[in-house]
Amino acid sequence: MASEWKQAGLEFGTDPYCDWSLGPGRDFLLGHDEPDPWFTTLLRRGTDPDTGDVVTTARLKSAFNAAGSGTPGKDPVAYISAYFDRLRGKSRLPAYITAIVSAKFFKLLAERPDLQGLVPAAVLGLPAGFRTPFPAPRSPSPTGPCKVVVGVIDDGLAIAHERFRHADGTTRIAYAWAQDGPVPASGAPAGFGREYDKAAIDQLLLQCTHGGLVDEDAFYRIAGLADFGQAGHKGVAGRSSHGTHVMDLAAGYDPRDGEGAERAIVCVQLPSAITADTSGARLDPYVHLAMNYILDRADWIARQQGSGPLPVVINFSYGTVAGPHDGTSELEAAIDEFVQIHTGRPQPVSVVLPSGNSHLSRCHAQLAYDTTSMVDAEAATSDLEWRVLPDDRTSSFVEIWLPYAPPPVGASRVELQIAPPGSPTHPTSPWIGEEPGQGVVWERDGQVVCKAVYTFDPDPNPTGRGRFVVAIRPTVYLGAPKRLAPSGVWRIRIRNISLGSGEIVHAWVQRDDTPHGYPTRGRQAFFDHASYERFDTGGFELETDSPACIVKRAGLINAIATGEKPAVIGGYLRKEAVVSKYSAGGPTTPVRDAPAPWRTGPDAVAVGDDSLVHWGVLAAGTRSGSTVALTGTSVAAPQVTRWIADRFVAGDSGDRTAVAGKATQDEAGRSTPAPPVARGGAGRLDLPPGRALPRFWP
Amino acid sequence: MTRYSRLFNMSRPSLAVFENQLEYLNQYAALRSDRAEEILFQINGAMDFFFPIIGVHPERAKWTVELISAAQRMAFITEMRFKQALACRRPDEYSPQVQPMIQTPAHGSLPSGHATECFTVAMVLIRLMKAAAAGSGGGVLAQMPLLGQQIMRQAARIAINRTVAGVHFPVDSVAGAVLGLTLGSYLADRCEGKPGYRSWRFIGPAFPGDADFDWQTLYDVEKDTFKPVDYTHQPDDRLFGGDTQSPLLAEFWNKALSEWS
Repeated sequence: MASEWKQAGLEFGTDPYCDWSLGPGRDFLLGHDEPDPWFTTLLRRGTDPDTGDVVTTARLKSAFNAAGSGTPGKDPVAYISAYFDRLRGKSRLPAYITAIVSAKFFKLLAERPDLQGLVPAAVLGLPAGFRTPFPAPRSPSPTGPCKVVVGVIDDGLAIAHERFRHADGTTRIAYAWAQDGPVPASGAPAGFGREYDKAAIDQLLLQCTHGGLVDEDAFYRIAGLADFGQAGHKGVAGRSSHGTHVMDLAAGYDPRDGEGAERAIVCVQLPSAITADTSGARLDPYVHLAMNYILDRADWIARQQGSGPLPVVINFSYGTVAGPHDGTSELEAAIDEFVQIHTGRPQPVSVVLPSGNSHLSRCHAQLAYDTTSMVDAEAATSDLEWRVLPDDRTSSFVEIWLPYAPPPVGASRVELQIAPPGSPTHPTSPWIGEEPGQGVVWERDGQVVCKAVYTFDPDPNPTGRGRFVVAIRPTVYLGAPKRLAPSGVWRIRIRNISLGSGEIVHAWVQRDDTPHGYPTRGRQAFFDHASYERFDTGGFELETDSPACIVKRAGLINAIATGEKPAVIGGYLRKEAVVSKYSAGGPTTPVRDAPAPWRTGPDAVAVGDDSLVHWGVLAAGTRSGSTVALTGTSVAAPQVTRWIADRFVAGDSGDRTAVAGKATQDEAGRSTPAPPVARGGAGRLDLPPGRALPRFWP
Repeated sequence: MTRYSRLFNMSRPSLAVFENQLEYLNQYAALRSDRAEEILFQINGAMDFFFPIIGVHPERAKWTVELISAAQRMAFITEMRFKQALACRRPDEYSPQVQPMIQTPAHGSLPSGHATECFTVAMVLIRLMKAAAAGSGGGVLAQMPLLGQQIMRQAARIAINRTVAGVHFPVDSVAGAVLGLTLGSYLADRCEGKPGYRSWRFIGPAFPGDADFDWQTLYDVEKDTFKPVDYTHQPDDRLFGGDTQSPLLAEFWNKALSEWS
């Protein structure tokens, strides 16, 4: 059996995840059946040298398509929405846009530095059809005299649920966009998925009402959201779903409650393949489109009721683990830009994110070269033991981030070497240095099962940090036999060459577990370390770090929640009034040249569990009348979204400062010690229960 | 001499229909973890799942429970004749990848016994409660239109659970539901002496192979009418007339009815 390491560089795009997913990881990508499909992508636009402004969509498209002409295959760029160009901020066009492109686009991007100037970053989405962006709504969606629009981006949204209805039985959902599922003949908001406006939902509710009772199974079957004749995950088919629970906490009301009538809902269901693949590297274009869609539709609602712009609060209860953790990942920057563009709006726009549930996941390690106890003093090397589980059907990734500063020319500050499980039977890789776009692959019988590359973003506006990404294939595959990655400990050896005192190397394992309600695919890999203590002498899980151990709990905050603008919410136990053990926190890293990071951790914590024994909080199951318990920072965040909506109705502010202010105020009234800032932010929010009914006698 | 009339006629769908329906087995399997407890409990019948809806307890309503049991026995005996005659293969005989979560019964697949029995009982219960509501009317009976939906939806859920479990095709539930609704109304007619019932059928070859089981397309519980669907009736199906009341069943029925006053 041939088994060898070879030198290799990026073949597709500038992002190692994209390179892997279109290259060696291609067969394991959900929905990869088509030979040369279109893909959604989130692009960061660079500057047009001719105008000095951000390059226009038209110029970008023509430049790529001109470069791609003459070679076989589809055009590089199928569609870029001019919608984003109309969002011009005070002076510049928004950098972030969503586009529909082919694999050739990424190929050209990897090869052509001039095109990299136009598009410094491109995040790969999923295979998709292509058509138009969101058009004007086909029918007006009058919701009544609403005062705020609550946007929810999630999975498994039960849009027929009575918690989202008016007293007369019609829906409070003005618009819902399911980003996957059957595309109706009349078109879809962005060339994929299906839009349901209020009129369509009301019509379906009526059609499915028998004996005065809505047949919700029939509703979801006819709507195409749970049709068992169709393939794909059916989030609303089970008794509980993440999105319904979250949306109830954010915007669910008893239909007779007049407060509900004032809150219109615009919701977006992400493609289930995006949710199923929790490494999350490909959700960026969908979330970016979803946020723009929610705001666009909110403006339509305002126009419809002749009220002028409405305040909008968007809840996005998703998380990933690996990233720069300084707010500069593409999705974080896109969310910040989105909020920034609309800051001048007469009414505010807020985004709420969870701080993540990975505190005890062992997915973070940090290497500091000023403490000899962590380093082999002689060789200045340290080993990351990346434990990859058997029966993992998805690719696994580790990101290793270096301190700010471009890599030295022709030299490296650190070098990296990979020893797969089973060494020495399996060969160890050569040392990989800081050569942008370059790295190594491990080939078994001609198939690449592992690839490690170094990248550095040369854009003037980027993270400014070098990064190694190590990607490996799944450890099991049920299709035709393929060479896979062995499970066990992958040893990533890091050798310090020129990093000095205080310069820290961070490593994160990317999220790769299986989300609520999905069949098991991913299994979470983690960093093993001999001195990592999981339990105290009483058998309780330890929540604090030992300075001697390179594997850390600190800094596992949701990797898409370290940006400047969103309100980020952790979880605490209502009864015990302590931070939930899973609730992740900072510290985060300052942005380049900034004196302090944008946040130390979450802005505040809300209830993630009613008590130690009462797991989770109660909110809607998928069917009207049902109540289920779900746990996590995912359910803490929407309680804050609800509070912000209330503030907006009252004409008050609802940004992260307001949330922190409320937490500070609530904390002052408490008798137990405040949680540490890195995990608790400004403190424990005391929010009105809403649907978060406590299950114990106080 | 007793003259027998044909009450129900059933024919077998084509092999292609069953093969087509395997996709449903694949998709419905996603609900296995969600429905596991119900499915395990319902292996040997599911009448206990109706009692919480109507508030019936054997110690307080023994005749109602006995009537339900009689209806179930009648359904069981009938469905087994059809299963034996039609000899349709179970899903796991088409593909080992169905891997049912419970043991597949040894008898044939179509019609589904769970569907037949549940819809027979559901129909009898609804008819009994309508009769009771016409009398005194209190308690749950006041909620009759809603209650009818609830009972029918419970029957449907039990039938669908068998597809989730991997032991039935949706078309088995369709055939079972049509048969069960017919048997239920026949039994209630014989009890009440209601003149005239319609002969009904399940025409397997006419069933669209890619269709799921949806009882609402077969029966309107509010209006108590069978909906004419291509594969359940033909224009020459007859309406039987005459005095069909069975004195024995009438006695039985009235005893059950008296428990609801």
